[in-house]
Amino acid sequence: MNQQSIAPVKTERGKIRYNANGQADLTGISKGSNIVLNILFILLAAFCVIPVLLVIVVSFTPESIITRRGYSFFPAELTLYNYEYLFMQPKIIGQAYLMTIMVTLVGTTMSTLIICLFAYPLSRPDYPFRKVFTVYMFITMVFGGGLLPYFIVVKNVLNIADTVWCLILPLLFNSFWCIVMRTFYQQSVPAALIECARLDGASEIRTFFQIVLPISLPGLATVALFMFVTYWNDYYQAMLFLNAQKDTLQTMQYMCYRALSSVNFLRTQAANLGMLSADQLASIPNEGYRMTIAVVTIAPILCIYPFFQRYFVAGLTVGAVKG
Amino acid sequence: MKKAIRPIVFFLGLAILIAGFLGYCTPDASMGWLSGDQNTWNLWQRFVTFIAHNGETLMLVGIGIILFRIFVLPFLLDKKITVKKWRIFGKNIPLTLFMIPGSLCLLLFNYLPMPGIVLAFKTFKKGRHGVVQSIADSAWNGLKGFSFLGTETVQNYIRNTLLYNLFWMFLGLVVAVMIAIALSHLRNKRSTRYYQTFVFMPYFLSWVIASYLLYALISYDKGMLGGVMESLGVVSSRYDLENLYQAPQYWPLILTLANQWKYMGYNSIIYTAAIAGIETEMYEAAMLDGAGVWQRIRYITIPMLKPMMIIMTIMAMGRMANADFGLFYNLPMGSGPLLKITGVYDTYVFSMITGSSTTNYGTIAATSLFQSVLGFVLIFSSNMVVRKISPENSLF
Repeated sequence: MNQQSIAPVKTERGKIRYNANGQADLTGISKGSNIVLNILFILLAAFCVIPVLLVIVVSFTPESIITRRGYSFFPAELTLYNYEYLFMQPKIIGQAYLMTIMVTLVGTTMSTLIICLFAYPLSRPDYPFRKVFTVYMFITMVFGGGLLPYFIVVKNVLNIADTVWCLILPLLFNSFWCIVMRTFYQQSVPAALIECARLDGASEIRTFFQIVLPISLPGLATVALFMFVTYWNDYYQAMLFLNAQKDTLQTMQYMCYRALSSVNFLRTQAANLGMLSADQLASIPNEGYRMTIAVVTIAPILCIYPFFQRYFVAGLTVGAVKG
Repeated sequence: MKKAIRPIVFFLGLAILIAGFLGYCTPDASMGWLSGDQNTWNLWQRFVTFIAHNGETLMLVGIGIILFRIFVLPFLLDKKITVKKWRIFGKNIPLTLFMIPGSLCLLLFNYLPMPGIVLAFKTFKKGRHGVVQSIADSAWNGLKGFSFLGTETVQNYIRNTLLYNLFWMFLGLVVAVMIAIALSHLRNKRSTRYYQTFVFMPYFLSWVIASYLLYALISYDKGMLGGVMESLGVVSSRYDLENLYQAPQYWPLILTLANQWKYMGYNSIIYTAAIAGIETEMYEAAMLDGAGVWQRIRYITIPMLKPMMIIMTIMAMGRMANADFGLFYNLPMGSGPLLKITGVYDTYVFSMITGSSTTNYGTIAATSLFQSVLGFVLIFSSNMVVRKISPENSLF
């Protein structure tokens, strides 16, 4: 809209406001209802955020206060002891944390590559086997063998239960993100560009890595971020396939799950390592410490999320076009 | 005649394959499928016995004939076309290579489990040669594995699964559309972004973490809820409050709140994008004609969102057989008294697999097969509806 030609248009009953950029403010509402709406949204945001804040506050609360007063937003005193204690236990937490990071990094890299590779030929109208592979992928989206056959395949046929691979491999391929990526290629990579590259003598592989991928970097980022979250948040594979007796493979999410489901889990684990005497054992903070582990687990997600939010939003919007 | 050869060969192979499979499934020819009267129809009886005894061989022969039809017969019948086909294949080898890793993943984790469905029709008996061989060796027992459907517990789980999903489908729709419309009407666009950030955030926390949050809020002796009610003077001591983890009547509400907590931001994003895509001329025209905010929402925004709302609802319908495992498994923290209210199909199957010996594998497989089939039917019927309403939005 041209900036000079703008003058507020008034009609008998309605009027149009214009903002500083000269765009018509078409959805705006009156000041009073704007305030009401804002208050409602603040309440909604609080509903989403308060539980997280509570857990963060609890992780700074001394054990004695939790025992006496319960979890509260305004504890009588704050302490760093839970975190100190966490860092004194590199064997338990450090190992699980490294495991999570490793699984997430390897899994995200591999699955992003696999999804991008698989989606690319599907987006090419001149690829003759497009339909075959679409159907091949599609069948898995509508029908599955069920949980038990899957369990048997991973555990007894592939024999990867109780290894790192059972945390990585089953989540590698994701049909939803494959479709999103395919749509993204179709929208952002012009067919003429690929044709040009072909005429210039570039091989398919070269075209893909040097021309197509750089153009579709935003789509790739979206897929990578979502896969990152998937791997970081995954506890289901661990619950299914990890032996509860072996602690070396556990990820943070799985550890969180076990710490909450059995009250003395953390104490037992510390005792198993044999580093503590009996009264040291009794002094281990339990309630606050659990929350500390949860906070440490979600910290990376909470840290990266605000910066990459627009990628997440973009990915979902593309996905909705043809989900 | 030449045209008919291919389908004839193909169906011959298929028939032998199916016959072989049926024979393979029949432990004893005289008791099995289609056993005729022994005295009157001797030839038929012989035929059945032959199939029952050579099931495996027949299956291999059937597969062989089908492979022959695909890979050899075209060469024999029509050289030119096949050469052309191979040339197309040869030209597309690099792109086909791209598909290999993904195809392999699908093959291993999605297709390989599919034959395991046979377990649903067998009585699993663990043998000495590993689980897979044991599955092959186990006796068939027809549909007996599905008798679990008659038990009240399972009916309760199925009902919970469907009802929660149905309710949340509509609730989620209403909440998401309301959030999206309200966001688009805010005058301060910067805070709009912050609200969206906060409301979307829970989607990125796993249900395990959510169970921590819930525990911190409502656990019996330490939860914040008790402390707040105590300081407000609602109860004299937080120990007077009911232990919510033992009180099933509150859980439909808790689960609903948790579900909306996690998904409302996620759900509203698509509608927010759709609203952003509505052409401003329409609002402009409506405003010039004197339409108020409510009228604009009622007569422009909602009709414009309608297709998207229909599609999302129907797609949610396709997923109705699958409950949100993490929500139902983690939040109640395995509390027994809650099971009647919070137990769903997915948690039931999961606890059977992880908790039991291998003896009732047959029942478990039947349970998950039932769920798969239900989901399949739901997806297909909902997609059929989508295709009627708006073909470009249908899944297939």
